[in-house]
Amino acid sequence: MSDAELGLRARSGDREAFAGIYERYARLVHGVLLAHVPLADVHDLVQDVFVLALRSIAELDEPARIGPWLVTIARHRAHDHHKRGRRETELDHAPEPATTAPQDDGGSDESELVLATIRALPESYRETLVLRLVEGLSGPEIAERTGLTHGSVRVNLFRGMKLLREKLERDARKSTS
Amino acid sequence: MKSDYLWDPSTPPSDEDADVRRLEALLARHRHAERGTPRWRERPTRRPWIALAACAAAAAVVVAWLLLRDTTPHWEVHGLVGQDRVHPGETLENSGAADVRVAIGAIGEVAVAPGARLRAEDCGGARHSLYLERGRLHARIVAAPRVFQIDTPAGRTIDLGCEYEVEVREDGATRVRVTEGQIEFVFDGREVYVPANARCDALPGAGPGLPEFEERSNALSDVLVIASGMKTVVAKAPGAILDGFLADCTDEDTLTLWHLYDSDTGGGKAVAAEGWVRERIFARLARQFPFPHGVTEDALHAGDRAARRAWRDSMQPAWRVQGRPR
Repeated sequence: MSDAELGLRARSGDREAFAGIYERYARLVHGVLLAHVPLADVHDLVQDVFVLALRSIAELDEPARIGPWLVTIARHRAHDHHKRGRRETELDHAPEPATTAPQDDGGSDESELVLATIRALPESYRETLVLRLVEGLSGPEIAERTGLTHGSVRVNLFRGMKLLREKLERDARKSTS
Repeated sequence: MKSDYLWDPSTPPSDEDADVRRLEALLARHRHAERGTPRWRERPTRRPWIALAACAAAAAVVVAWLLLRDTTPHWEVHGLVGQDRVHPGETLENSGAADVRVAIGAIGEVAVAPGARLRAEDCGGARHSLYLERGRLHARIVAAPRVFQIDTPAGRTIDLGCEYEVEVREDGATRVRVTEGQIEFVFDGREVYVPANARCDALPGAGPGLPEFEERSNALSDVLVIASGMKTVVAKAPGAILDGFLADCTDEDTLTLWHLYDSDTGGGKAVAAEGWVRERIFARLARQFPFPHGVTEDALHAGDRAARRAWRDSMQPAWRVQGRPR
């Protein structure tokens, strides 16, 4: 079933069609969120995004553009999540001083460090890189699902990968010196 | 032949893709499907009476809300003593020492700096807009292009999906600086496209000038002087200087060059390149950027807006690459 058909059916209240949208786009939403928020929060936020999407499915103006619509909701949700996090941090009492220094037993997860490095890149690069390197989507698939042009995705991928290489090499040099 | 594995992982990787493959292998564990993908299920109601009670409570809340809510379009204001919302036509002035935050419906937020003064124009429906009379604000908008706009004494900024800062000085001179995405800065029929990491200055009555990345090089400054017709200021051979610049210019420079070429449209008076300068710039841009399907040289020279936009849009990837991350 095409996106347009799925979108139209979901918009008219067909919950099976909405489940189909979830199956098709959960990976995309997961990737976009992972480009903005820590790994531990992503799983719940994916659910939040689809709950928000279900509530506002009647506002889906262009059923064929479900992907870009979900990406917008995911970015917005990630932004709200950051804002809420900041507010809670400001309201919290100051953390008690640590009694011991953070321990690096060599077991820190390299993949999470790489994800954090990607999240420090400019927004357009980080989403494309996560969708390619984590979610395993190809450039044409990213373009099709996000609504970006092939040219933009290609530029984001190659420029983002170049920046990522430079940052990872810089971090590696720092840690060895 | 250069490997295209990063773009298309179904093609065979080369040695230079070793780091891409290593990152793929390292990060694949965080892939959605690898984390035990749940199917989409709406949670069933476990206890009918709980659901009924919840419905009744929700209905009571909805009724109370319907009776008490402010039904006129407005934006919520946070951080300003004595004003928690602003309606169309109302003014907001930040006389405090910290930013005031204005929620632009469900599409984003504007942080209004101390000393800034704005007027809400349109607070919902198809469009959100405000007039920034003076001071600085930072907008972050996640919406379809052209839903949000900021008017200033020197022109109108139209959001194309982005994050940017607008500052209006006491004399009305305006500066726009884009952090993410892009905006259009328009005045009297003239359109200036400002992508991420670029800025654009505008003057009341004259409209926006040229968008630029970072600091302007001396070579580009010379070209701008030549373009404006003040040949004697820089040299006796402006044509040679211009040709030298066009031969060596960067992708970043093509953003400014495009707007010099397009400076024959609209009523803005901030920029107006001479005809012979525009002709040489056109030839330089045409060498790098092929015309999109349906766009002809005649249509471009005739100032056809659709053709000009289509050609400009085809250049955007080059401008996106060159932005320096802040």
